[in-house]
Amino acid sequence: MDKLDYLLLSELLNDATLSFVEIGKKLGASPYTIRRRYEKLKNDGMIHRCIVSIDLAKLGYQGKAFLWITVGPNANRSETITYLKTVKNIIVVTELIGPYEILAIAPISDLRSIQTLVKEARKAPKVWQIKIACINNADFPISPNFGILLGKKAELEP
Amino acid sequence: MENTVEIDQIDDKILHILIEDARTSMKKIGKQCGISSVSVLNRINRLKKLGVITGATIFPSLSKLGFNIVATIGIETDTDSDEILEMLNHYTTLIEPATSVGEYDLCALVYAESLSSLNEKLEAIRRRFNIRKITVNVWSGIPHNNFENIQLKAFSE
Repeated sequence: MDKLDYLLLSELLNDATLSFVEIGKKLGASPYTIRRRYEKLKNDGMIHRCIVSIDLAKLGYQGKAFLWITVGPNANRSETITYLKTVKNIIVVTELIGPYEILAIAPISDLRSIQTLVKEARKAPKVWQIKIACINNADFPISPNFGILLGKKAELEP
Repeated sequence: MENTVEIDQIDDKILHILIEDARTSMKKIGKQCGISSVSVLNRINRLKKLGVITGATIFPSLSKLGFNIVATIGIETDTDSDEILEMLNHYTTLIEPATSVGEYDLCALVYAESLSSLNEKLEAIRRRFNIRKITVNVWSGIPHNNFENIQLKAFSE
């Protein structure tokens, strides 16, 4: 990874639909170079996927709920996770090391949607306790701070 | 609710295709939705204009970039959380800081190179702001991203 790679990633994080010509113009490289770099990053597994960013607030959502889940003793967490992935609107599930064992994230629209979400998540096997934190950020899939971070990292590269 | 944008089934389908891969060609989307690529473009431009589509991004391999640790932190504080949020927004290794209702006063995602750098970042926040408690939950294993699972219209029933 050199400076150009970081800058290319940073550009794509900001707008993944840019053409190689446009990126090349911005970074002062030929579209051919950019294409070659892009393919290499993709083949190396550096780029997992390209995803559209949506403002869910425009579609009636108010924010996202974090479900902090504790599972029972001797529970197989992968069973719980497999179930949680099928619950409508849960977009991220991950295992945790810390006070809680699983985190699930889902967009929410109103109080009732939180109620439904928790009720459905409770049905997952071995769930012991669910705590909720609701944030008022309805960006999907994630807010763009990371692009800025990578841009800064690029400046440090030779 | 005010400012809610109406989307029909075809918009919904287009958005789901773009969630799967934002670089899908108009032609391919048109084929899957049974409409022309021109009307796909018109629909996407409408959604962009109305602010539903805000852009597109990539998911890079965090570990390959040197960020071996992802953690969600919950912050409890006695001071005004909006004030803290404004300052947290300047920390670029904090992704998506937000005030929260319920378990914590503020939540944020932190990317860090190692446990010691995570600790450094948390110490910096701890020292700088009037914070009662920071709870750290480190993401272990591979997170399951299940973005296709989203129901785009908040009130469809």
